[in-house]
Amino acid sequence: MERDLISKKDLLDEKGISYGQLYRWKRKQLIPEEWFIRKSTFTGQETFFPKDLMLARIDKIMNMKDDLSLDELADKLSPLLPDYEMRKIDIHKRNIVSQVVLERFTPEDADSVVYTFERLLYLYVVDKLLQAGEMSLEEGERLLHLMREHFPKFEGKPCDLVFIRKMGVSSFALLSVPAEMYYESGVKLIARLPMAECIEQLKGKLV
Amino acid sequence: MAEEVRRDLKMIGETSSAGGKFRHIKITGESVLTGDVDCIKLANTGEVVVNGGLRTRELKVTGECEVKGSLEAQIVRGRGELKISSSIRGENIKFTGNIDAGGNCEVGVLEMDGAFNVAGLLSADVLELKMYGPCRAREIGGTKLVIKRSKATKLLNLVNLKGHAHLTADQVEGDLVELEHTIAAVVRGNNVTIGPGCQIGRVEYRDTLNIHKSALVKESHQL
Repeated sequence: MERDLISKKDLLDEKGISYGQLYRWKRKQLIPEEWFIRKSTFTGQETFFPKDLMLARIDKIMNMKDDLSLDELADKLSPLLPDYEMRKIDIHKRNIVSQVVLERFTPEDADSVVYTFERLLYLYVVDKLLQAGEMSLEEGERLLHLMREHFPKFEGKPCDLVFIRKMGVSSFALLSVPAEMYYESGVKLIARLPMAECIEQLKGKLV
Repeated sequence: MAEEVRRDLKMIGETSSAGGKFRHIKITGESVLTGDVDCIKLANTGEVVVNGGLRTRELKVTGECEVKGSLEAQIVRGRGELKISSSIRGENIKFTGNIDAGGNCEVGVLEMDGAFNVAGLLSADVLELKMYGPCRAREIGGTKLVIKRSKATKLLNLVNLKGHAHLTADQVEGDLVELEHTIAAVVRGNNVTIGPGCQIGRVEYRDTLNIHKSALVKESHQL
């Protein structure tokens, strides 16, 4: 899967930002290092960015930079899991994860049980795929299992969740990015979720 | 988290320590810190080697400081030599002497008298450099970049120490760029001044471009 790229010059023109802003945001780690892709062109080495990710990120920074300092913004955008905890009852109240998911996957926990950000993230991802109507509840169970077992192994490094189905049989995988994947014919890629994006979305909901 | 206790560390002479968390570190002499160091302030006179990363609010160097990892410091002051195997991240660096970085060097305000060698990107909101010797970076980027050759090099060149004071970079990009004695493939900016002794492959500018009569610019292009 080759992502659409945008050159640095086009990005600055399109968004009306200056070199200084771009470098400052990079320094403050608002833009991850791995998005700076160096490629050679006829004018020498040029920097490119993954287009959709970068445009969304710049919009987000421009919208929030008036209210938050750059350091606060960096905390919000960082892919590291925050030390954030929440009681089950609050998750329900603030509608972060739907009632169905809570009932189905955490029936044994009382309302006062505290969830870490990590566990919340797993439920959030399951909820997201269920809401999109792409996954059944049984598959959700297996996804949750996969996340619990393998997600911590990435230790905060960026990874994607891949969900494929062939002839009605589904499977999940976590892979570190950037990575390219090719499937045999008949395999349908149902979803590929960058976990960093999920973490960001969830953080946005919590704060 | 429990309240952490940070202690002071003072070493004089030829010493070594395991590293760790400290409040103030004061080193005089020749010392080796064998692991990562996290402190509020590190003052060094002499020679210090950190076999790991160094994280500090303030770093003061008189002499030589070698870090075999990355350096993270809010404020860096001093004169001498700073050798960092990985990247440098800082807010305000004022340094006289030589800075070597094996990775990127990203700083808020960087005021330097001397020379540097950065293997990756050198970025700063404000970069003011007076060159005393050969400088090199793969890329330079920032808001305001002013690079000049120190007047004193005329004298230094008489006794010629280490070659001429000039800057070599693949790319220089900034909102305001003023260069002297620079060899670069591409320079991009809003307001660009190409001073004496420059050899530039291509200049791309938005608002203004001034080229000194002794500078060599192959092509220039207004965006």
